[in-house]
Amino acid sequence: MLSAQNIVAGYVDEINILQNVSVDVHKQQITSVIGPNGSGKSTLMRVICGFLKPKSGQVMWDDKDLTGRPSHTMAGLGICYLPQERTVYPHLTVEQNIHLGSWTFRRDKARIRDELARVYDLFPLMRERRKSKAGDLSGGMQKILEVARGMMIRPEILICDEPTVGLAPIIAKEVYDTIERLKADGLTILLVDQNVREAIRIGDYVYVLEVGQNKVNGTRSEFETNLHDMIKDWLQI
Amino acid sequence: MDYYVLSQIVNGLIFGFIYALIALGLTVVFSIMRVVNFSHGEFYMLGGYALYALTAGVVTVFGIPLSIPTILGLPLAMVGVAVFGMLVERGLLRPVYTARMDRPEEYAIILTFGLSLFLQYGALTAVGPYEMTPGAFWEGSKHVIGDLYLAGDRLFAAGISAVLIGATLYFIYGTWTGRALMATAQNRVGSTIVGINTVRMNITAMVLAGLLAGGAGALLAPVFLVYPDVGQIPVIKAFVIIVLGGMGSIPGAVVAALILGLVESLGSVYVSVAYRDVFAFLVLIGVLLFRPHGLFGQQERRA
Amino acid sequence: MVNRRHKKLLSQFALAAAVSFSVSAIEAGDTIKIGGMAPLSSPGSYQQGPELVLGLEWAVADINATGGVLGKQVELIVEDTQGRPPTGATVVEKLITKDKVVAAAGEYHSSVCKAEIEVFHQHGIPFVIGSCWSDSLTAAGYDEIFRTSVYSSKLAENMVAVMAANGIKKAASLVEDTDYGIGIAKNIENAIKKLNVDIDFQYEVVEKTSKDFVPILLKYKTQVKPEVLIVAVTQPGGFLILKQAHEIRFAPSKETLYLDGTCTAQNDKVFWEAVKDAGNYVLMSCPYSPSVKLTELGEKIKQRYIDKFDRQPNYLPLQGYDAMISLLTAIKNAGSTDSKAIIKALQALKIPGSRGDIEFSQEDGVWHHQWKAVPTFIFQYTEVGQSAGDAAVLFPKQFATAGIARP
Repeated sequence: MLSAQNIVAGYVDEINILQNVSVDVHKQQITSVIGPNGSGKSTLMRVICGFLKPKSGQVMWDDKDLTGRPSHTMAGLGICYLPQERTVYPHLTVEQNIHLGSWTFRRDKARIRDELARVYDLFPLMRERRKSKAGDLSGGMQKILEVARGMMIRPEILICDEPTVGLAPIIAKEVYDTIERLKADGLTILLVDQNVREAIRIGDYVYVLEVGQNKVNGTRSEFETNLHDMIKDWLQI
Repeated sequence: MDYYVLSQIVNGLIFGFIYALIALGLTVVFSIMRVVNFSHGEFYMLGGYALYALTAGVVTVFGIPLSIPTILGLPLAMVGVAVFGMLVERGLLRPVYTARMDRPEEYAIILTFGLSLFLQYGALTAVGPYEMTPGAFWEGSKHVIGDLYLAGDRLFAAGISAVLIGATLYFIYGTWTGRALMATAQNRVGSTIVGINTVRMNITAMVLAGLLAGGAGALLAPVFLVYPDVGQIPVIKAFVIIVLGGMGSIPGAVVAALILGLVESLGSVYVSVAYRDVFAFLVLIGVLLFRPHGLFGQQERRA
Repeated sequence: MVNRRHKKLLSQFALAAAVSFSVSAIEAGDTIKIGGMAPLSSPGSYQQGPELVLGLEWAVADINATGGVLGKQVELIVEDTQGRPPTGATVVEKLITKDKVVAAAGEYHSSVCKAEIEVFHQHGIPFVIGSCWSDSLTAAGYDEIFRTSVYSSKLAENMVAVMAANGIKKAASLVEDTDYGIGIAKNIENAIKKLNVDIDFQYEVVEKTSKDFVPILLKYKTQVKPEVLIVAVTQPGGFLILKQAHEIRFAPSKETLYLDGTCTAQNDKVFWEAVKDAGNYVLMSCPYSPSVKLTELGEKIKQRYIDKFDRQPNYLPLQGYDAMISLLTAIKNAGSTDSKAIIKALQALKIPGSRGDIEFSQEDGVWHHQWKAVPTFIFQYTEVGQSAGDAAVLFPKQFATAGIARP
């Protein structure tokens, strides 16, 4: 289980973007975090993945303390983080991009070969485009490429920050399908999304943040039956 | 084509390899750290002085004058400057990048500019203004082609430059660390999330720059002397080369350096030697008119 | 860690630094203030500047030791002009208006002198040029400007005379892209016409910051084939051209002599250290040859230099000394610090300098207020590592010890 407890964090001394937030992510579930702009969703992801050191609070991954651990060590622990911005290497080919996903086990040639074959099987489109420059792919395909690259390490958990922002609905759907498919394969997923309906639709458990604090949380069924009441404060539906 | 023209072309290409060696380190540091290292010319200077200090017998350690063979002095000078590059990264540049300030690149540029002046005046104070020549790598002048004789040292410098450039290209394109460098240059966050320690990549870039610039300085010191501001003109040429080749493009830098060597050599005999150092800029303007991102440059694609 | 020789270099540089930044301890008010300008930092010739300043300083010290002038001590205020004309003009303005100097001496770069003489002329303050060689400075005809150093057309005439005497018919030259370099080339052309000798002469202007001169040298070697290559480029460019001319087996060689018009061997240890065996058989055109006896005063200065630095002096301290001693003696003779009186006294001056009796010509053109008889020499190295004192003197005739030697 990934557990962030009582996180307080911010980019400057005086201002705390997160003012005591706690989130638990259970294995083999999709946990969605939603909330209005500025509620601290992305900051929470950055804290969990080591890009921002919390001022207080603790991040645990099973029995390992992740608090303040450097961000580049996350891949080695089986944590795959997909931030909101694009992270492909635009001038490298699709295959070179995916190949770099095996950085943490780069000495193991056999494993690289096997994982590459497996990832191509999971994402046949990537195999088709493997010679293309990553920068030439469409936005949605770049997002899929990021996921594919992340899958090289056979992560235990995928942390996705707004994977569909800026994508056309039909392509966004493809991304959500991919996430659900990965969950079905046994992956644990922490998803941050602006797209409330989709986040609730695919999430097993949902957290709502507001101005850096936990607002409400509950299972999908609770949200589905009671959505309007639970989030009416900030959602004008 | 007569021997005269051929001689000029050969001399131009030889100079091109030397330019490439100087430009490579600059372009690597720029592409990884986004810092234009204004002290790169002084890395070059330090390489020359290091070779001189190690080989000329003027520096004594425990009462024994240091006068090791130049051929051994070269790798030592390279390593020495590489270590210096590492210290610059650790002591000057990293604090800027970790201080979480706006536009760290601009602070870093000012820092390297200050470092450049500091090192020049430091050299002036420490060893004086006079030109020095370390011992030769390859004594005497050698027949090259037609009427062309060139110093063994110059040929040696070009040959070793070609080897070092080849080694650098292999390192960048053929090794994991090299690929990680490229990845870091193209997307830092994307590199971190696959597990690449980008701070280590910064160090690697500075070490590589130190090796290459220090190597160039040491290789060229017997041919072109060493003195406090010896690095100023080469580094300006290197700036032209990396813009010409496309900012951050490594093959671009090599090709641009060879072009520049040729243009300078031919231009100074067929146009006018008085404008030798202007040709670089003319070529640059000409290329940028048609290819604004340089010969091998790619438009930034950032989300 | 650093050996003896380098300590020498270091101490010299430290001295220059001390000179440039110290303010005289003498109380302001009862001193006569004199300005001194020289390049002391990049991009100026920071090797040469301090040597020139040394001469200025020693002259001031000598005068002060004998009681100063007009009953007062002389205070020398040295400014760094960095080899930049605008900086030169600025510091002269400052020396005149802020420091209230009554006169000045020094400067090394012709282009900087050119800017400076305008300021002196505007304020009517006398200035004795230390070591700017361009003809145009005295040719400007300003009353305030005097020169004790050699000048470009004289050097050019000497070079042409040596070429003519040795039957040279074809000469090619590389000159730096400055007033000094281009001036030398033009003056050689003029001297060939004036002396009516049959020499085919051509030149190219090079950037003194370039590193590779092989293309143009290769062109000269294979296409032009001159009997002598004349180079008027200051170091490090001058050193590089010599190294590269040797490298491509062009000059000095049996076919082609190498004549250095800039006297880059002014410090022969540095010269040999930089050029190594390329320097053998080079002809040097210098305002001073250590093998020729100086005046009594000159020999004293020479000894003082040797005592201090353990090597032969070059021409710069001598030129600095001559400029300053002329100026201070003129003030003494004038009995006043009034500019007009000093100028008058300079015009009437006749004193023994370090290299001969100094007097200023009243003729027009380049000789206006120029020490016409200022000695210059052409000598030739005939051994690698030879000291300038042992080199063969070729010119002027009365001092000549040998003819031209070829490899």
